[in-house]
Amino acid sequence: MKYKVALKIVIMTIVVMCIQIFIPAFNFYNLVIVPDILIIFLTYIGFYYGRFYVIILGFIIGISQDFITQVELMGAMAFTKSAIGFGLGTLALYRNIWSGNIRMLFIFLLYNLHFLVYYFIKFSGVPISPLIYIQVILIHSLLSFAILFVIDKSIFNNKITLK
Amino acid sequence: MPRTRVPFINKDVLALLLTLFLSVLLLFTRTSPQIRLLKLQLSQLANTIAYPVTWYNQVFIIREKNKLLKEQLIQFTLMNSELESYLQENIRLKEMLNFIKSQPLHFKTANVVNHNFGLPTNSITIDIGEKDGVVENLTIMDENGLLGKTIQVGDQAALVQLITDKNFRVSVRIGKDRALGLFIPTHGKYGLLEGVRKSMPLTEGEIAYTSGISEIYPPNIPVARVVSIKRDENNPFQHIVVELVGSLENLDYVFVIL
Repeated sequence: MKYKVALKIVIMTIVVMCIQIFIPAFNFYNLVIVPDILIIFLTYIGFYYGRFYVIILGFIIGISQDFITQVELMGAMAFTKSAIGFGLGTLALYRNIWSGNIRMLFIFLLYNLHFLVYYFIKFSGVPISPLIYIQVILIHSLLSFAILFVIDKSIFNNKITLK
Repeated sequence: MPRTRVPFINKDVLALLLTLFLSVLLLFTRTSPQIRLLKLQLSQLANTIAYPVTWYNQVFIIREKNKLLKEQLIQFTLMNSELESYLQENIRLKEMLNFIKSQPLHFKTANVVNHNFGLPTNSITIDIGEKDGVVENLTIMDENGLLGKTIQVGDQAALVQLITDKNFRVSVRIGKDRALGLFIPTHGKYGLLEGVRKSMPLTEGEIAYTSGISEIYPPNIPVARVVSIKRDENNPFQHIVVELVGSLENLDYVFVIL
């Protein structure tokens, strides 16, 4: 049973990573922002399979992202994705307790935390205005959150956002 | 035997700790400027957090040092009291031996009113005499060293035989071993030190002081500085050329040691 679950997750991970490669990016104050589909994927893994899987998967996905996009910051994404994996796994524990709004708020806060830590490491030593720093975090979080919302409404039939 | 379980430590937490540890390890092996600055910021943060602990440890270190210093203080106090007793003993022994304490020099300042360099006796005349307590055979010096002695005294003036005079001699001591020698002027400001044995270690630049053996000159007045030393195999004494330390050029005033 566990083997089947693991295999299923591995296949899904590969598919999502392939999708992530083709996601269009946009420019904000000369900063390239790519919507993070992988974090949405981790949200669902956390929601359905719990903390352990999401932490391990978060680390693997994070390290793959680091390896492909930012070798000089190898470990940054792995760190943030493992850390929020722990939080996202909480969704499974409180699946029947939390309402849809609380769940959405929790996910949004976790996304913010993820990008806050990630950009803190990325912008360390870079002369950048705090306002832009906050804007980038919010935009990136909102974007990922909006995609999650759309996916949840259209594909998953309000599994996470259900009241 | 039942196994004890630590609450909150389960496989999820262990997985998190392991992945975070690996991530941080990977991150800190990088050498990019961001990571270097991040390391610096984190170390500063850790330093700030650990400050109370450091302060607490320092208090202990200071207490230990204080204890050590107190012990040293007691040792020094004991040593000091021992030295104090030695001093008292020394004073008592000196009294027993009738040891005479060295007296500070008393002097009078005199203006030079006449120079007699051309005469057989190199001399000067000063403007104080018997009325001021000047007698024959008093030491004359300037701020640097010995210049001569009084040879004739009038009521208000005195004649001084200069150290450069051919007939002038003064007994001196020189070197670490305070070797005895005799200063003899030769030409101008130069002279010779005679009677210093070859075995006496001397170096150029050393200063010869009056020995105090003579009744005229008090001890330890600088006389001359060694310019060169020669050691001849056939001569038991060193050939030492010296230069006067007292200045005879533009002689304007001198001190008469009473």
